[in-house]
Amino acid sequence: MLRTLSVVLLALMVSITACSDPEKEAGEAFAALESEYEAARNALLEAQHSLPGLPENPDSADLAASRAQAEAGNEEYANLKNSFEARFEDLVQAHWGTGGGLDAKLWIMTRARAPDEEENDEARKARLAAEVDSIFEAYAESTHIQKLAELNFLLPEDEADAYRRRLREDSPHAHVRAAAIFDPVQREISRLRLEAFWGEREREREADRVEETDPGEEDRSEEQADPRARIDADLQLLIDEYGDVPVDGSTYGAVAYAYLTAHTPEELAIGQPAPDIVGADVDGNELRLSDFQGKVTVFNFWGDW
Amino acid sequence: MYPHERSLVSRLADEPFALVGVNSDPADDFRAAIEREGITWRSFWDGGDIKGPISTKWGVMAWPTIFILDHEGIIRGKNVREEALDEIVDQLLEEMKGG
Repeated sequence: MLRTLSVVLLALMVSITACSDPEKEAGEAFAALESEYEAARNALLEAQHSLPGLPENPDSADLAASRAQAEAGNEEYANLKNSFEARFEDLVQAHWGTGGGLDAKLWIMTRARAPDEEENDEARKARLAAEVDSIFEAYAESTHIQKLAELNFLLPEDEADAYRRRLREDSPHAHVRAAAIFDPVQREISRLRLEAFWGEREREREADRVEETDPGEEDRSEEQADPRARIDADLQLLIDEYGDVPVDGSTYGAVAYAYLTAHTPEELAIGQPAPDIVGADVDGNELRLSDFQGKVTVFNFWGDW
Repeated sequence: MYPHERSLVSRLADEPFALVGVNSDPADDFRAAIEREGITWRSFWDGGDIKGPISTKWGVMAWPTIFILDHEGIIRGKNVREEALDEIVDQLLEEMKGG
């Protein structure tokens, strides 16, 4: 009897969860509307411009460019987008406070109408800032606000930074705070690395033209000293306080440690001894770079893409 | 890239030469590539992501990124391809035998 009752109860609970999970419902509603929009847009643009089969390689730069061109000043497309905006707005109203509701809000904000005479640049910025404020008001305690860690596509960098500071100080969720710390650090590191990468390419080309050592070296390292110190402090903070928080199949502790102890471009310059690597092959067999000492070695970072 | 790597490895099979990779693919894609391309050289597996620990530690921003090391493990060249890669490898092998 007791067992029957508990089975019935369990079944009841399962069915209640299935029907009344507002997160699940909102997530599904957003996903459905988004794919409906994608399909409608692709169909319209293909019909108008006989673009090649669209979903096949959505990352292709050519395709993105031709799409952007097709979308600009395209009245039919603008109408389509506006009608969907209204439907996403309904979804925001119905599901505000859930992940799907926030996704819908961000969908509208990132696809905001092209600036026209009714809304100049300043007005647009003010509107976006007010919208981000309203999100903060509703989602400050929610884990979904992590979607805002990547704010730079919406706001000028200093404003985005101010919001991120609020996140890292005020959010009750460790992974939200950690993301707000890590996101700008990672972007800054990428920027510095790209600078070093292109700087090196440039020096290689220079060296081909004139045999001369690089006179700009000292200036550059001084320039980098400041952001580097700030980055290192934040990485250390992630290790100390968010070490166990999971991210991308790893932890903030492990990821931050890898960045903090990363080799500098100077350490990997021609003429320097290659730092050893202790790692493993895909089957888990230990492999060291120093295993190949005594051989001339081509060491290749690669991927099959 | 693969055909040139294959010819480099087979041409220098009897020389003190090694081609060593760091692969950033998901494990299944990596295994499929080994099978399909007949890859015989060793590769570190970097956790299936371009933000893996080895790429992060070495500051790799572009793929492929190539370092050429001499027999003492000194970095002697970077990001050279095709004939230029053959040339520097041959030169380092000569230097090793000469010295």
